[in-house]
Amino acid sequence: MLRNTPIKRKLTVIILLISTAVLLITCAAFFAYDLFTFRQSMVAHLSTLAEMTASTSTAALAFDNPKDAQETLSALKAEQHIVAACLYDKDGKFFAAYPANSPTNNFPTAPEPAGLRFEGSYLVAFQPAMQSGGLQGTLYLKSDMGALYERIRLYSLIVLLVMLGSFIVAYLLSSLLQSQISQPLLQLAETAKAVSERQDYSVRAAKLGRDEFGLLTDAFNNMLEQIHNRDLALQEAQQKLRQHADDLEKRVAERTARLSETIAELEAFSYSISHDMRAPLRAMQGYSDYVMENYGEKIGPEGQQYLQRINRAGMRLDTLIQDILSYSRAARAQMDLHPVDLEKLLDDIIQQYPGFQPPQVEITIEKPLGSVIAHEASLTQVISNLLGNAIKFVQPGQTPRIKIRAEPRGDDLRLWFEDNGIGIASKDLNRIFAIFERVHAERTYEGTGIGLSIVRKAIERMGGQVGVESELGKGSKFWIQIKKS
Amino acid sequence: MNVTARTILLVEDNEDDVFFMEQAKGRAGIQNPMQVAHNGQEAIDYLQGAGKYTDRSQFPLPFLILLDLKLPLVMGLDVLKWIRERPEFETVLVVVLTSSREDRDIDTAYRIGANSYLVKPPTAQKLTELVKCLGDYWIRQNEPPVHIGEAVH
Repeated sequence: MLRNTPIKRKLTVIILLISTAVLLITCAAFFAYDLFTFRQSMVAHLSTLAEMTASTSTAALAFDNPKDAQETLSALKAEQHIVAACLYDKDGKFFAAYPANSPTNNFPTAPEPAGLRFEGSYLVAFQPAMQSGGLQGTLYLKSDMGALYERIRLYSLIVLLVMLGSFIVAYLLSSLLQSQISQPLLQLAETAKAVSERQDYSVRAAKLGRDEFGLLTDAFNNMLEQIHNRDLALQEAQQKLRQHADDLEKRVAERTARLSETIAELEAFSYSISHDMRAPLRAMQGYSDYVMENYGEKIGPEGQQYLQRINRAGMRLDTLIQDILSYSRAARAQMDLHPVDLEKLLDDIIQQYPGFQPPQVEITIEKPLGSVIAHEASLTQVISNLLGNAIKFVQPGQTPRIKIRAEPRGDDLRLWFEDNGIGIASKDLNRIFAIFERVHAERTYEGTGIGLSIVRKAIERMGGQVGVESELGKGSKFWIQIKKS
Repeated sequence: MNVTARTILLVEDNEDDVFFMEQAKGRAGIQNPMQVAHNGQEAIDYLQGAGKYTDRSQFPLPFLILLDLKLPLVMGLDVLKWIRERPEFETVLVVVLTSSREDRDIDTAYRIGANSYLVKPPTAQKLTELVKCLGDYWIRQNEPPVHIGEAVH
């Protein structure tokens, strides 16, 4: 019940309870002891009085003189507590009474055995009156306990006063002294509160002495010190981390800026290629066409042949520029991925280019192919390039045959393009996807060496993979692998 | 007015390309007179009838503009924008004829109101074929706009 009261009051209450209890027990003990001895002395007093009165009454009894006996008994007046007394003769007959004219039924009808005993709230005594060895009669004395009760009343008053006095003193003392214990505790509590509320680990609790509280305060301060140090270290580390993050961010921003600058330059570059490099090329080709047409006869067959070579070189340069632009488009164009139905896409591609139709080529599609998640324009370019290659790289005079099939691979779909072409030597397999890499001499198979790099770049930008299995003279199996839809 | 008598305006800075276009037009059998503006500003001046182009009998308003994109002074796309911003030229046909196959150029050209987008072919022969197609479609098959140079009220 004291659990939630402040420690100050708790201490005061405990001290008061203890001191009151101790005092009560002590008082009770004294009280009991005193009552006991007082009763003893009462008994002794009555016994002496009985003996004395009995011995002074023997003569009156011996001479059978009730008047004398009456007088003797009336001397008991001096004894306040004797409420009644009487004498019996040796035959046990009523002889004299005190007070003098009390009715006989106030007394026992016959003497009882000698001795003292308590009867209700009275102490009674029977004392034989003896003279020279013979029983002359018996004295009866009846004393009330007024003295005892008075004693008890007095004692109770004293105990009450002592208790009150000591309670006040104990209260004052405990109020004064409890701070010895509560003060350091309160101070610790105060400090802990300050720490937790303000997160300020630099505050310290004041040490008030070298007792256990002092030790506790030291330990507490020590703990605070450690926490403070750790907090400082943590803050420093955080600061460093922040600094580091800032630096990193700055560096990333710088690099991003530089990168976007480069990309912008690249875009300007490819824009310029697209616009400016083709104009002179067109002029070269155009004028050689016109020379051929208007002055062909004059320059003769050899001149015509040179003109044709100029023209072919121009065509090659134009293809090269186109391929480079396609590659750069594949490398930087935004790749918005959507589900693409492969069968429909292939049908469209084959429909659009007469070069992909019989009799130029026999294309077999193993349906169903399914659909993939892809950038349709780029995938179109990829498939056109692969088909174009399969058609281009065959033995002269042979009809190219291409088989297209799909192979599910987990979440992906692998699309195979198997041809009956000249195949690729195993030493060349690694480099055919690299830009400007050509395995064959320009003279045999025309090309820029960019087609397969566009294939790889575009597929990688869609999050896919490309590959090839081939053997020289046994055809090639190219594959692209992208996410199924 | 007879469609074949109406003027074509070629906006082209490259003299070689002007030469090839003139040759191709002849070979493709297109009779229409063709005026040439050598940069974007000239094209705007021509359409406005400003400077040396004040005489409309000598420099009549074109019904078809062949527009290159990379031009000195004012770029082709800006010329196109200028044209489409003016109500009196809303109806004029603009066919972009340029070297660029850039997605950006193509999309922008259509967005700001090109009627067609053609890429210059590499040889004279292919250019002739292209111009023939152009004539077949835009002059012979297509019904060109009737009123040009008048704002609709």
